Amino acid sequence: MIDILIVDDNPIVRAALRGYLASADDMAVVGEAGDGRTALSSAQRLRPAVTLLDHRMPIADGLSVVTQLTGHTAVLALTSDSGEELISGMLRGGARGYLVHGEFEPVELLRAVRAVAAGQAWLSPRGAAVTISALRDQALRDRETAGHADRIRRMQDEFGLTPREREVVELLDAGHSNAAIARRLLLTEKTVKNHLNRVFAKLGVSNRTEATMRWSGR
Amino acid sequence: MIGAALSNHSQIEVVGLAGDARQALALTRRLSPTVTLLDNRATRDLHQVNELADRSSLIMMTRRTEHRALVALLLRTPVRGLLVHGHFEPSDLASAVTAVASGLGWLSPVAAAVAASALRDAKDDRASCGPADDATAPDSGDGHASGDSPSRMPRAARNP
Repeated sequence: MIDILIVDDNPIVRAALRGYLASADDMAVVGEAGDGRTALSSAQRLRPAVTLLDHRMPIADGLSVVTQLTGHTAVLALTSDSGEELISGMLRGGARGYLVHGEFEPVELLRAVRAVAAGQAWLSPRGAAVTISALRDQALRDRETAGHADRIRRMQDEFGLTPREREVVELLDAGHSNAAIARRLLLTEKTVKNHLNRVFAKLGVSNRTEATMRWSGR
Repeated sequence: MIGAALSNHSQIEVVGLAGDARQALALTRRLSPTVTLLDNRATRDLHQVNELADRSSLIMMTRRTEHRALVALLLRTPVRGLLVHGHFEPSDLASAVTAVASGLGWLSPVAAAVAASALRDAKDDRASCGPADDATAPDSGDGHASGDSPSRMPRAARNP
């Protein structure tokens, strides 16, 4: 039996979750909490296998208690917020999963609870995309801190480009379209355009051709 | 089998099937699929993988479950999704394809666990000023899974 604690400030959401989880005969809802502080004391007392954790709540929000919670229970974030920083913050804080309200089928909630209870993880498509991209950004930063990118770092001093902006301009320089750059870096085309606009400003150029010439002729 | 599972889905049209990476590339150049499903044993040539990913959104299918192998796949190949054999249900194939086609991602639970723990570990490394993760270290070889069948089955699918 998987014991579950439901944490959400909206009693309607809690009731709906409780009702749906009751349909699974391997799960039991052992408690509810409407804010982060109550969630902590409940988790400490009840030691549920899995805690469904909302983010926006009074007194203490989800992100502020996720790390402490993971000392007592496996956390599955379940919230209507889907910002990149919140997703990666929850996962870095120890959450084992991330589901966004309105973006999953009911049966996915049950699979997610089972995966998290079994020590695995469950990421909704948005959570998966954010995680992959955060991992790559991090690896890139780590490579640089480790000193594996001297040439690139020299360029950073010259133009002040961020690691991501350098990736974008390197791909631009290699002749890739915005769409291809977006696919390669797991970004949207809009984000690539935003990066390129900042790159243009930093290189002091106004279009792709000038940017390539400036970058390759540096 | 995989092509058949996808062709039942109303939003997905399977436009091509390839038996190896070279064939997959030729088909991708000709058909411009939205999504390409690639078995990770189909090629060890990163250039081929990169070109496939440039021309479509790439989902890699793998039998590997070790932390290091999955992190290497996530960091060294431009995949938007990882499906781990034995760790996904048939319906996940279509879910992964539609998620990736809409610009999002897909990770089988075992891969999601690895990815989440890699994120946490990296934070710990940074906090302690330790050296970087094993993600950037030379890989033990993605294609060396022992006991795997030799069949190579990359497939291309298009979401109209």
